[in-house]
Parts: sequence; structure tokens; C-alpha cells
Amino acid sequence: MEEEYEPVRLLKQTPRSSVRLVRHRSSGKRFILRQFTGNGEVYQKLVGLSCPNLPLIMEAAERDGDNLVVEEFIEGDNLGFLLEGALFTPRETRDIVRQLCQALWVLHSMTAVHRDIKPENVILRGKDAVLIDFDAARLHKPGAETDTQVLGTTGFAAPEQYGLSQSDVRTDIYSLGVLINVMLTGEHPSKKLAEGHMGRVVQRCTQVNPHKRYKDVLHLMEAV
Amino acid sequence: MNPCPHCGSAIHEEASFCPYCAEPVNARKEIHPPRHMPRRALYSALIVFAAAAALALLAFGLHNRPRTYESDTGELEYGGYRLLLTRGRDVEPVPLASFHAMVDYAYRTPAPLYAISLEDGTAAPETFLDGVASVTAAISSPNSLVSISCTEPEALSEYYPEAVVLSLVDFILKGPGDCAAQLLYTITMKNGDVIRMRQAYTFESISIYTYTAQDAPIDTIEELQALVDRACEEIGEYDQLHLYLPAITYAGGLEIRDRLVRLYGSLAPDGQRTTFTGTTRISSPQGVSEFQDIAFQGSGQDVGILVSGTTRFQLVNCRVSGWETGYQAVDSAWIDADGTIFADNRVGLCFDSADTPMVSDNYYTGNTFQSNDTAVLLKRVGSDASLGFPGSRFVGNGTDIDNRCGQKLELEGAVFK
Repeated sequence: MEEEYEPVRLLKQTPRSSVRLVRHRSSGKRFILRQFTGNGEVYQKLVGLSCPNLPLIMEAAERDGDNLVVEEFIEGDNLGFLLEGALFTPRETRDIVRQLCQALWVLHSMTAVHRDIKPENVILRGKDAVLIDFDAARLHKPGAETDTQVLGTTGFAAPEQYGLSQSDVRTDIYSLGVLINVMLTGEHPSKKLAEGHMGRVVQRCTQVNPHKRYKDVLHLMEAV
Repeated sequence: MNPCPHCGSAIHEEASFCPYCAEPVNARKEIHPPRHMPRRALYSALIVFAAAAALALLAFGLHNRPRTYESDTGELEYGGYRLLLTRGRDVEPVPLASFHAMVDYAYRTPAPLYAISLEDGTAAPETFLDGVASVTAAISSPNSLVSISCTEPEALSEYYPEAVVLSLVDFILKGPGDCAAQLLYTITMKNGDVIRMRQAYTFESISIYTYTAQDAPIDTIEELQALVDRACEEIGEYDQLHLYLPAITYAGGLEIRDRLVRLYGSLAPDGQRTTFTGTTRISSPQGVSEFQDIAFQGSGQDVGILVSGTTRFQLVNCRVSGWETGYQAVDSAWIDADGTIFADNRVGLCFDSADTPMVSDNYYTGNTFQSNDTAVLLKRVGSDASLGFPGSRFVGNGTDIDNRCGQKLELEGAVFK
């Protein structure tokens, strides 16, 4: 890698991970190079897929828990930066949220949860909103025993307390609800809730009880 | 090593990307997420489709072959198999599934299809599937009281290895009352035969009985116990008792049996919050009981909240402090806590239960375990479910987690100081 690529800049560094922008020396193409310790299964699953609202994962390799990921560099501004200057209109917000729902649908349908949805992890590339950074994502594989019990539920108990896998998917819906609110008001919904229909969508997304939230991102898309 | 199709460089056989020329070398599947149809349009389309399909099948069925088989008893014999529509792992026909449900809560229940070989009486999902062209499921209710849908049938061999396929039925009761629905499995065989199996559903809303200090005297532990005892005797088996308690200290603990009870504490402007100073004992077989915003203050002895039987119990935003054991599950009970502070206990949270028939939430989210001799003690846990502590903080405990039974833990997101 060092022979073929030159570092452009260090974008993020933590004790367990680093994210670098690198340039392919001969072609000039730019890529994101991620190195992190942990579970890289989600990146490995994304290698064979393409979705306009997710970065292309070019390669994902793992050895003894150390992961190296080569990822498409998404040119654009992240929502966090854009929100420093202005808020979004309800229409703009709807367009972006729908696309994020599509990105999450891809992740959720491969039993992965993103777990770190925030303005800094959404990049606007022209009209496309692209969800990035799956370092915190994980595949949700409930133990067979747990799932057996979930599936065996007889129906009279409050489902939010079953501990079923859907709860984890709905953590993304919760975060997305907060993001919607921040895009419209600049504030967390507990401080200032967005007005009108979108406010009601935010309320439903951010219910403490996961089962009072939208069941999945397709339902959220419909509501939005 | 293989040559890169773009530049010819030698790259790993499993490479997805050529690092030399920076070109992808793998086949990539384009994903286009479905656009969720507006519900009304979806229902209209389904009705039209169902009507068209019924007409087509009627016309088709006038001929001798292929044949159509119908069942609304949950079982049917076909081609050397006994087909069963059930509700779980028990391979018994379930023509009618009945549910008690809370209004506005989302429920999910499985509807597996089994194929039992008539020859040897064993489940034969794979051999039966060999003859199947397609399986679809649809569910509908004539009553708008229930919002209901089902997933496309699929083989979930990891969880239901003996089932041919499984559809998950999702429903939400939109208001109080009773209603019904019907699930239809349509199995189209490769020889053209069509098998239709129906399963009836009934739903009955659970009533919630709510009391506040304005409705009944609940200023002392005796008055509160009397109200709980009387209500639990009078309300229905599946009904719930919800109590909103004043911000006072109850000198003692509460005993709750046989009914699902939710207690909601409160906080006075002077900082006084609803507090119990004696052991609270819970044993309610139905559903998940829950306490919110309540303090349990001990004097260094006893158990603060003792959960027994097959109860599933949850603490939310409570405070449990000053007990020999703050919060304990025994028998086959399951306990959970979210946003709760466990402080200054000998043991904060303790599992000593076995053979739990059904777990509730297995994530202990956003709790604080502070200055306990042992924050979490796992003697026996009645399920293989891993215990997660996302967002929970362990501060200044003698032992944070004493995992004597070797339970699987997920400590990602927990903070230990």
C-alpha cells in the first residue's frame, strides 16, 4: 500500500482506529483508508454491494482483529459542517432522511446496525446523501436461545422488553429521529422539538420504548 | 495469486480490488431498496391481486389437474406429508391463535409451516421443499381495529430447523376491543397443485386500570398494599394495574402477585421522591411488570426488590441503594434495568435464577453501578442470552461483575472506572 498510495491527510485518529485520505500515486484516485481494531464483518459484507447512499467498500481485510479497509472517498460536505451554517428546510430534510433510510435498509437487511448515526457521518454528494463510518456497526446475531424465546412469544407481554434483535435496529431509528430534529431545529428533541408532522415523526422515532418507534426504516420512509 | 484483469499485476485470489491500479476486480451487486408503498395503495393492490388470483384459481380449479387443496384446521395431508400450520416449535396444528395485546404496541408472532413425513413421522422440510415452486403468505382482517401484516415466508433453519418456512405476523391493536384476522399460506407445487392453509387469529385488548392518589388513598404502605391486593383480585387475568404514586416514603415494601403491575414514582419540588424502605416482592406470571422513577432505600440488610416465579421485571430510572442485595431474580425470574442507579449495596444486581421460560430485555442500558461491594453478581442465569451493558457506568465498586456462572457478556459500550 505504501508503494502505490501516498497519504493526503489524517482525518481521524483514536487509540483503536485511524482514518486517512490517501491518493493512488499513478491514477490520482483518492480513497479512504481505515485501520481499526474490532469487528470488521460489516465492511466485509459491503465489499460485494453497491448502493448510492453508502460508500463503495473496495477491500476489507482482517487479521487477528486488526482491520484494513479501502473505501470510496465521498467528495462533499458532511451534515455536521453544513449545520454549523444553517438549518435544513422540511423538504430538504425529507429528501435526505429518505436516502439515509435507504442506506440503513441495506445495512439492516444484512442484519447490521450502524449505531453511530450523526451529522458528521452523513455526507452530501450533490443530491445524494451518503452514510459513512461503520466502525461502530456490528452484525446482530442474537443467541439462538434468545431468539427462540422472542419468536416463541405468545403475545400478551410488552414486546419492548423482549430484548429482541429489532430493538437494535431501532436504535438507528432513534438516532435518525434525533438527526431529523437537529436538521430542522439545531437542537436535540428533548430541548426543542421540530414543529408539525416532522415533529411527530421525531417523537415516534425517539420513543424510549423501542417498540413504540417505527418498526423499520421502510415505515419511517413512508411516514417521512 | 491471480492476474488483475485491468493491469495484469498478481493479486490475491480473493481480492476485491487491485491495489496496483486501484480498480475493483469483484462483481458488485447493486442494491435498490424498495420504496415503501403508501399503505392505502398497498391494500388496494393486495385486494385487486387477491381477487384476480382467486378468479384465476377458480377457473383453473375447474379442471381435474392440477388440484387445489384447502385447509382451515391447521393441518392437511398431501403427497406423503402431513402439513401443519403452527405457532411455535410445538409441531401441533394451530387453527386458531388468540392474543391478548396492549393497544398501540407492536407485536410479532411466528407462524411456521411444518411438513411431517407420513412414512416415518419425522419433519422433512428439505424433501418437501424439493417439490415446492413457491410459498406465499398473506394476512388480512375485516376490522380496522388491528393493523396487521406478515413477512414473506422463509426458511429460518437457524431457529426453526424443522420448519419448512416461517412467516412472522406483526400486529398492532389500534384501540380497545376484540377483532379477528386470517392468515393464508399458499403453497404452489412444481406439479401445479396449489395448497391453501388458513390460520385464524383473534385479538383482545388488554385493559389497563390506572390509579393515582386522587383515585384512592395510597399515602401509607398499608393503604397501597390494600389497593394492590384488591385490584389484583378484581381485574382480569391479562389486565394491567398502573399506579402513579406520590412523592412520599413508604415505610416498608410492597408485595405484588398474580397480576402485571406498573408503578410510576414521582419527584417533589423539594427533591423528595417516591421511596420504599422495605423489601418489595414481585411474582406475577403474566407479562412484564415495571417500576419507574422510584427509589428503594435500604438500611444495609435484606433485598430491595426480590423478583420470583417466572416473572419478567424491569426497573426504569430508579435508584436502589443501601441493601444487602439491591435487585435480585430468583426461581425462574428475569430482571432488567435501564437508567437506574445502584449505589452503596453489598450486591447491586443479582441473578440467581434458572430455566427462565422467557427473557425480557437482556441489555442493561444506561445504568450506574457505584460504590457497591459487588455491582453485578451472576450466580445463575436462566438463559443463554448474553447480558449487555451499553452506556452503563461502573464506578468505585469492589467488584464490577462477579460472573460466577460464566454467562456470556457484551461489555462494549460499558464504562469501568
